[in-house]
This record gives sequence, structure tokens and C-alpha cells, in this order.
Amino acid sequence: MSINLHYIPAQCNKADLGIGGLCFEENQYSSIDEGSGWFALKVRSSPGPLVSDFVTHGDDFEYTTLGIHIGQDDRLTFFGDREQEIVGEFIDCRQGSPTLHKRVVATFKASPFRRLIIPRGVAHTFDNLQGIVTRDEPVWHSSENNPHWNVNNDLVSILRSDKKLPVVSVNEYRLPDELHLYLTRLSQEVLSDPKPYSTRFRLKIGGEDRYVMFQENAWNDEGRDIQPIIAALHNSPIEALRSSYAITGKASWTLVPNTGSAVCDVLLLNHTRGNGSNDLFLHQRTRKWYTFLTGEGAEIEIETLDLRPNSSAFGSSHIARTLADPRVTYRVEPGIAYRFHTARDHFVRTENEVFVAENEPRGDLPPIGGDLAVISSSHVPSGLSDLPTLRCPDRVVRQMARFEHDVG
Amino acid sequence: MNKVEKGHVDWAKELQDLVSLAKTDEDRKAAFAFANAINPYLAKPELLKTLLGKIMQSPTTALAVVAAEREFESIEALREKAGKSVNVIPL
Repeated sequence: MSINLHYIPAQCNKADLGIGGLCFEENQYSSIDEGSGWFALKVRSSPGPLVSDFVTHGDDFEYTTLGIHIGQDDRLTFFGDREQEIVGEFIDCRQGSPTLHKRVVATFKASPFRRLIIPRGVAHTFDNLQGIVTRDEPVWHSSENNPHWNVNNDLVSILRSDKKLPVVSVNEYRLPDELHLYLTRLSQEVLSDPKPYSTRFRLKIGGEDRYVMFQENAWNDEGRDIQPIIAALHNSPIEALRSSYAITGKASWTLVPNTGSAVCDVLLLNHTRGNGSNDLFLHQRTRKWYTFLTGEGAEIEIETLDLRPNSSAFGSSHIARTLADPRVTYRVEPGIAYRFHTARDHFVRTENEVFVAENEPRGDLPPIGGDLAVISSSHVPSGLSDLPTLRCPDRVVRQMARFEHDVG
Repeated sequence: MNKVEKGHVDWAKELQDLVSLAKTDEDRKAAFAFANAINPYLAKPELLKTLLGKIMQSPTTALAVVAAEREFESIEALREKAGKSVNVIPL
């Protein structure tokens, strides 16, 4: 069978790969001014259901299978070393497709500026993903009578060495956005304790074709122990929490959202910005959740200044030293000024919960959507206004994210 | 904390509410089909193994078994081949 080869240049954010629906699309992103802090780039969620998860790939990671989604379109952004070349292999396995069993191999570099769309029914696998973190923004579909679909595991695996390629029917009904959120929250519950994922193969059992899942019992929470990383923040006003994740390979994890809204952005933390300054970030309406996605194992320093009006530690500074690890999320309450010091750039997931006061509008608070102040740690403000305590419903946070899309 | 906590959500009731809120014909079909598929699991969400279904690094033992043969007399025979390091779950 012939193989169609594509090379996607780094600056190319839109490309058709020759199988219907398989393509690169441009992400929604914006540069951040140097005067607005030490984040250099913001990659927003893409239009659609506004749910995303992140898959890390350890140093020994290797895909030995191709995967075929039955009810899920993948939308993948590859974060990491922008010089690292990734090879993707794709085979159209969709029943009735004019390009059935067409095989495409694409070589491309990691880039925060574009996402790869893989339609359901297209088998795919990747090489050279070690150290790369992929953001997936899936779009889910259901079906009444599809024998290939199992809601408990949407992916059918085939060996890379298989000569006989399958033909699958894919799900036809796109789930409403509310059900994407429901499924994400269910995933959060399922993954409240990390567990290994499973692989689904079609086999002949007792003369009948059946799907069977294999779940690795021996994999545990491999990698460095995260308890010391969490404990390093013990005396900090910032809380370190275990992220919700599944184990998807040796020292490799799939992170699901932490918050009920499931909305997140990705920021590029530029280690050279603000060197020598005493600037700290401060939010008064927003609880921030940060997860270091890339640069796992690198040392990070988290500097804080507690400015919460009712805090017994008001005005006190703290520096915690720890390691970047995607399995740990840092939660910053409103009123705590903070800064991350790093020796390298990191892509960081950021999630928000937004608060309002009972007596709005409050002219003494920053506007919703503009809740960021840069303050100097050497000039502690004499006191902040009472901070708002009513958390906006998750659907409001999702609406705010949609609004941000609309205004670009 | 707004993180989902175990045991605090009536998933079946919430799903029923979401299905009833579907506005278009396509949304209704999608919601009904999804509800039919997932309802059996909602009483015991811990049975859900791989909701998000990622392509992943496959268990080495499972790969060896599948690479060697695709036909088995029974699930028990498959389990015996796979050994104790892999949990075999028929669907």
C-alpha cells in the first residue's frame, strides 16, 4: 500500500493532510506584553465544547499500537521543545469513506500555534513524543447501535504490524456541550484516585468477534514521588494539590480539568522576563489553578506575599522551592500575590474560578475580566478591600470563555 | 473547593435533567443515545475504566498475547495467556 508523506513547516498553521477532515488548524493565541508580567504567550481553548485534557509522555514513552476513536474527534496541540520533530501516522478506517485505508505519514514540530484535527475513525499513532505534552480538546459523538463503540473505552487499538486493517462505523450524533461537561466531571470522579487506562482490542472469543480491554496491573503511579513536591508548599499560602489524572504509560499521565467549569488556557512562562524585578501577580476576584505541563523535574521557586485582609499572616512573604510536575496543581486564593521563578521556559495550564461580592458593582475591585495587578514585593499595599466571596457558577465561567473567543 | 467530590453527585438524575434540556432534534438523539450507553455504569462509576479513551502505551504482556494470536476458546483461556499482570475485561 502506498504511503503519502507530508512535511509541515514550523510556520505553517493550516494544512490539509489528504484524508477527509485530517488537518492542522490555527489555534487562538495572543502574545502578552513584557510589561504585563512574565507570561509571554496565551493559548486559549478552541471554539467548541471547551473541555480539554493533557497527555504527558515520559522519557521512555513509545506507542506500539494505532488507536481508532469511534465517538471522538481529537484536536491535539503539541506543547514542548519547538525543535522536536514528531512523526504522525494516520490510516482512514471509516466505513464508506472515499479514502478508506489511505495511509498518511506527517512530520511536524511541536507548536502552540496550531492543532491537529483527527476525525473519529482515523487510526493514528505518533513517534518521538518523549517530553511533549499534548492538549486534546475532544468533540464527542454518540450512537444508538454502533457495535464498535463502548462508552467505557472509546478507542479501538490495532497493532502497528497488523496487515489486515479494520473498517469501523463511527458515531453520528454530536453531544451537546453540556454533556461534554458532564462527561468531564464524571472523569474527574473516576480519576479521584489515579488508575491505569486500558487498551481495547477486537478478538475472536469462542468463535465470536468480541472487544476485550486489557488493563496493566503492574503500572502504578510511576515516576518521582509527588508527596515531597506537595509537602514543599506546606508553609506557603499557596496550596499544592494532586491533579486529577490517569496513568497512560510508563511515567506518563493524562490530566483532566480540576475545576467544575473545565475551562483552561495554556500560558508560556518565560524564565527571562522580569529578572531582577520584585514584581508579583495579584488577583482579587479570581482563584487561580496552575499546573506545570512541560519541563517536568525542573526546579521552580514560588514566591508569595499574603495580602488577604483577614489573614493572620497578612503582609508575610514566603518562598517555596519545589519541582515542576504535571501531577501537582498549585491553587492560589484571591488576595495572595505570587510569582514563579524558573530557570527554563514552561508551558503552564491555568484554570480560573471567579468571585463576585454581594454589593456589586464594587468600584474598589478590579473589573471582572481585568483582574490582574502587578505589584512590587518591596512596597506592600497597606490593605486590600474586602475580597468577594461568592463564586460564580461554572456556566458563567464558560460563558466568559466564549465571550473571550468572540472578541478575539 | 469546587473539585468534584465522590458521592456528592446524583449522576443519573443530573443526566436525566440534561437529556430533558436538549433543544434540537440532533441534541435529543445524541443525549438519548449517550444516556442509554452510560446509564448502566452510573450506579458504580468506578467501573468506568477509560472514559476519555486515549491512545496509550499498551501493556507489554497484552501486546505479546494479541500479537501471537487473535482467537481464544474462552475469556478464561485469554486470561490464562495474559497472566496476572494484566486485568482482562470482556465487553
